[in-house]
Amino acid sequence: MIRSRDLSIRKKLIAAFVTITVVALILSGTSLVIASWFNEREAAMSELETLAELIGANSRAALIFEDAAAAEETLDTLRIWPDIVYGSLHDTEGTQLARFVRDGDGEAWSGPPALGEKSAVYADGIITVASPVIFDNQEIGGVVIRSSMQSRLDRLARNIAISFIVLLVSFLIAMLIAVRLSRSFTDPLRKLSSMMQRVTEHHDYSQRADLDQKDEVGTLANGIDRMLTVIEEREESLEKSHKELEETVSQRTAELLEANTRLKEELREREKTETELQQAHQALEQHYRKFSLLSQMNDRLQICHSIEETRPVISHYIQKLFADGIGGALYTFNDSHSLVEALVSWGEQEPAEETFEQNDCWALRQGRAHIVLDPAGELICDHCKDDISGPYMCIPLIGYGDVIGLLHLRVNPEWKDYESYHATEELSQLGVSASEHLALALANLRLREELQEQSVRDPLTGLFNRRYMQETLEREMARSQRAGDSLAVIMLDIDYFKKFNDTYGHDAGDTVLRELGELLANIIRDDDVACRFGGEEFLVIMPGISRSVAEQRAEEIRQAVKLIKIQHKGKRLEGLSVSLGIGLYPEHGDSVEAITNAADAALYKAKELGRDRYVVAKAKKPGEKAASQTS
Amino acid sequence: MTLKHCKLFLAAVAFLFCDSMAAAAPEYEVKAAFIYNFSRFIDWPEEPEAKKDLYFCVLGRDPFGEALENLEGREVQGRTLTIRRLERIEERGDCAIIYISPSLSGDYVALLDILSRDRGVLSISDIDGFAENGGVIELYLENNKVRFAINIEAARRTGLEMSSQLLRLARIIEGDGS
Repeated sequence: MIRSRDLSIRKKLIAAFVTITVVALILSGTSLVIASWFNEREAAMSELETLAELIGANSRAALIFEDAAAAEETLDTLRIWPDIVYGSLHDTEGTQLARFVRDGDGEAWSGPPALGEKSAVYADGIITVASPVIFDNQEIGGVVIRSSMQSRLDRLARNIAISFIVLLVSFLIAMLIAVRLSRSFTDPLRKLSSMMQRVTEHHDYSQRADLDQKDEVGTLANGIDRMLTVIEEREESLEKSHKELEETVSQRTAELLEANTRLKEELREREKTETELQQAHQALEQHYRKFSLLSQMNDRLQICHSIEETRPVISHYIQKLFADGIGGALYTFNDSHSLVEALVSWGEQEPAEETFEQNDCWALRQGRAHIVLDPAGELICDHCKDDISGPYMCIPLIGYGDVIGLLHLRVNPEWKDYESYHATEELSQLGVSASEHLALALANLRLREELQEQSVRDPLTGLFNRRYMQETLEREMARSQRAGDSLAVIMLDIDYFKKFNDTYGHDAGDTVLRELGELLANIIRDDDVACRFGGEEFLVIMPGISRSVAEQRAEEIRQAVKLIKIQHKGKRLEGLSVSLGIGLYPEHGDSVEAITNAADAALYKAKELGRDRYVVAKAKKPGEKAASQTS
Repeated sequence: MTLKHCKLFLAAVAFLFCDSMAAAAPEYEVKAAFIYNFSRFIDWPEEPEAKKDLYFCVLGRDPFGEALENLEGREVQGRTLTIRRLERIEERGDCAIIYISPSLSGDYVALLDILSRDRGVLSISDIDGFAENGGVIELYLENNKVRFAINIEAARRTGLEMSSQLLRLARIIEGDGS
């Protein structure tokens, strides 16, 4: 369905105009037809009434004298009106006197006669008029006339047809006028609207209607033109300001972006700085912690008396210092300075080699740190080439100018900070630092040990002196007493010692003594203590040994001495032998003196028996024992 | 027989009966009515003083009997119809209508001659040849119905004006019988 507001004004105008015209014409035509129909009917009726009266008047005599022929004659005059189909005259009784029937209309009408009143009735296209005939104020009969409305209806139809044609013509004329008129309205409107469309689509505000009309549309067009001029000006100024705004915005955006970039950079830098600071702080803390550990370790090491005592201290602190995936070992040279031995080792990567030679390590050979970051592409020390898989470093321990050991550190490749060179750097620094501390502490200890040794040892033979022997024997005897253990003392003396001095010179005796000291130091167990008792006498303390084992040892020593080959100034010294006396605790007494005396007595017994043999002291009698205690 | 046929039959019977009634109506009753009705279609000449009564005079033996009594006193053109019976013509006075009885059929020509000099006298008779002999209206029977003939010349001579309607119903006699 088309809604009226969707139609163009032109169509609306045409429709309105034509509708109004057609409606007006139809209404007027219809009313005209209806009016003319009623008029016609009225006219016909009044005509018929007049006719009826006339006929009645002319038929008075015929009625009065009941002359049917005359009456018929009169009625016959109705023939000249073609519409009249019937006429009749009757007397007051209602008896019909005469009638007229139109030819061809066949059956006659037989309605009621007209009596008293005049009447006019229309029915079925026929008007029936009845009129009484009055004569001298007396009703003498009646007339009935019936007339067909056919011709009038025909006329009416003709009129309707003409009206219809007029309607059609009017419609066409109205259409024409409407089209012309609407065009005069809508053409300028269309022009205006298409202009407005151009304006809207292309934003071209320079468009103008330029209608040369003085009517309302012209006024509208002029108004729109003026409005467009105003809009155009505003648009221009708006565009200008918009451009300025855009420029400002883009400028501001660029500035903002720049500022943002700067800010970001600053932030990044600040973050970096902060991270660095934090790292530095952490490093510092770490350093502080490490160095405080180092210093603690140093303090503890200071109060150690021997290298041996340092072992748990170093083990404790070094594991704290080098935690986090770092393992290693601390090696020290042995007494003869031929090998390095592991003093402490720790970590998952504990080195396999417990001892190795100086030449096996590049650090020891060079006397400075050897750091390997990539084991695949650098020189690897022999001592660790079999079990190394990551970076490692060997740092020599240098105390008082001497290389006294080696700090070996290896980094676990699985370690999270493995990649970090910084860690390695730090590690090496810490390593060096630790090595310095350790070296100093160990060197000091060594020095102290040496000093101590110098005070307890015989300088010629390297064995303990008599004072140390005294202390040791007392300590050992007390210990054996507590433990209910036994103890043996072997005293030995070089046979015919004067003969060497006499034969080979004074130095030869010293050489013999030194060689024998060395032999004793080597042959005895670790628990045993060998001492120079004085002159050419030596004493070996053997804790926890039974008589038979003591005898066996004594025999071993005797035989070993016999096998020593001593060179002195290109000459071979021969005929060296020793005599040995064995004293036993608790068999031979419970004091140092008693035991040593018993051993001494046994030694003299061996000398007496011919030398180059051992003798076990005789068991003392209770009285003697008491006597010896008192002395 | 259907109802329709029955009705037709009854109508036919009624018609015949009515016809026979008319035929059986006394002739002079009809003639009296005729005479009265003539007076309604005829204008008498104006006279200086209008007479109130319209005299209907019967000359000779009265054949109407009771019929005339019905007409006595009726209004005709504003005048009252009054019946008079005359023995002789001289008694006529200002009679407007004079009926000459058939009893005077031997003398009527002489009587007409007398009347021809009168003005405004309507002479009526049912004597055969009355109109041809100068009478104004002659009543006669035709097919058992009362008819009339008018001598226009006679009417004009005496100054009566006949209605055309009346003339149309009458047998017109032209020329003067006298």
